Amino acid sequence: MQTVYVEQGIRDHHRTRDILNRYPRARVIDIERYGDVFNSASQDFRLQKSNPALILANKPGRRVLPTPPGYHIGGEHNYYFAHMLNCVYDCRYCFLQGMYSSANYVVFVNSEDFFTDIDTVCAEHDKPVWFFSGYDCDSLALDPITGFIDDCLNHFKKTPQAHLELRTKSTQLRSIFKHDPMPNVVTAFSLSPQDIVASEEHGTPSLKKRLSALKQLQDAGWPIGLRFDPLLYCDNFESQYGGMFDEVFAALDMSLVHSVSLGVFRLPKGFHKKLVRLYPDARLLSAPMDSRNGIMSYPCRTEEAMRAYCMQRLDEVITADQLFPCS
Amino acid sequence: MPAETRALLDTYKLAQCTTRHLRAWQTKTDDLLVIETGMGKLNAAAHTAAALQAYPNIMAVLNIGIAGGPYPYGQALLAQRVTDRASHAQWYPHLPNAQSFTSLPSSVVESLDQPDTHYTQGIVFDMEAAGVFSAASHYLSTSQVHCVKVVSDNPDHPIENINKASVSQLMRSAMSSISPLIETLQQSQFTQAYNQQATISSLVDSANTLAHHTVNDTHLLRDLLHRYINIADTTPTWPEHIGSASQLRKHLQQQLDELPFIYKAL
Repeated sequence: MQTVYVEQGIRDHHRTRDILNRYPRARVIDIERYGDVFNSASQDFRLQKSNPALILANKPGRRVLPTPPGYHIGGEHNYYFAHMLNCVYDCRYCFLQGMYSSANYVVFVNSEDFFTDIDTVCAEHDKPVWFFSGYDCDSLALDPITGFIDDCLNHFKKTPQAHLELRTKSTQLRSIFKHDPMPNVVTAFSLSPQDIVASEEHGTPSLKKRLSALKQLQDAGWPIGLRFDPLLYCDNFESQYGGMFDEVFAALDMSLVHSVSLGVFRLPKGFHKKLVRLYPDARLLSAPMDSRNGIMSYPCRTEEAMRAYCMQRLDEVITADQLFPCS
Repeated sequence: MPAETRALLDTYKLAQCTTRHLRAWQTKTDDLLVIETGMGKLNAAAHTAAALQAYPNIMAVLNIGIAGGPYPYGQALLAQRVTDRASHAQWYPHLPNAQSFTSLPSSVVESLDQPDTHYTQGIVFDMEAAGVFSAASHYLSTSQVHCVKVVSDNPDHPIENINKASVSQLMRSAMSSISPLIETLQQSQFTQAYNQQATISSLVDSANTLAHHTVNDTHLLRDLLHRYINIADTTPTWPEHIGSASQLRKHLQQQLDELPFIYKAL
């Protein structure tokens, strides 16, 4: 990290100091609000992605928000929060590229405020509440720098009615293994066939490494989740995804998997348009697609065939209450 | 001003070009264009916009000049933020990772309408940067527009002492810091990302010689060509006889439909 922007208000925060100590040679630039840099006009996401800056900030306002309809893994009350914005990986299908104008990473250092908000939301419900942390970022990828997961797990240890999903492609599990397994914390990995990982998920750990990380978690007694989302179309879909399922089923005890979710590639039309403008050379975006209700995805029949094949393969090894198709 | 430009013209052996309304110079290889904006934000904005309009292939802009602030006399400083004191507008250039940029100290550059000697820590005063950024950011991204200022006045070197000779000398001395920045920006980091655009443009040009294309036809053809090249990893060939732009697209779509869309080991 060559450039670190720091909001003046959190310059003396202990997490700010810890993070800055990791980058003694970085250019540190004071800013008033993170949005001045992150949301400024005329940014080029693609150019920034090659050397993103780090922005340390305070997250004001509402930190915990209800998930969109259909985004759940069996819970009745579902919320998400983002302790950071953007992702260290460069997946060509990622909706963050369409959502943000900047590829810089924003890390919010006021973790305690997130935990207070989580407690407040929990107090509003009698039943268990699910919190999803990997919606606007990868939950674990930047954890060696942010140190968020350790604090987060300490908090969720004290609030068993609150359930947490960490969603990741990262194999940075050190913070998790500092703790004993927690039944209310699910670590879910996004999985794709290796050829798709290599072509479209730039900078991410291989499928093999992700499966190895999942196995370590499962062997240690942590609940794990599998996220086959997004499924990407190709003419050799069954051979690609079939090969991946074979590897997954061989590596893990599927009966112990907490949840499996499945979703075909889809993007809001505006985000898709932005991605095509950013990456006109992206193969993934050149596949035949339709627009339905403001969402770009594959033609209905293609989508149904992709989903049906995956459901059929998953039916062999998991029960209906483990499966959560994404809409 | 001419004294600021002279060092660049000599270093890069630039020849004056005949661009209307601009005092401009460029290298024989056309990979560097220098324009003299004149004093003040308005001049800076107008000349920058005119240059970007006249030379649409410009991929990066570096505003170079003198500024005053509490820094050592002659120090070259990279702008980490450019602000316009009058309008409060501000720009954050996205600084490249290159050694030439990371090794240079940085500062806020505040553009004023009148000279000011109330120097403030962390800020240098100039009169043009905000104009350059205001215009250039309509054409280029914050990764492509940068600013370097050489300290010409500070509490020990009063602003009244600035003259053509001292500015010229300052800029010559600072060229060792400025040249690496120029070379970094000249490298193909921006063009690399958009290499395919040049191929597409050339194909569109060749299609235009075969059949008349309206603006909409061209737009549709570009989309198809992107998809074709992304999937086939090669460029299409045109049929020998084309009746119209729509027939050309139909031909291309047929070729596209026949291409396999597969993922395989890289």
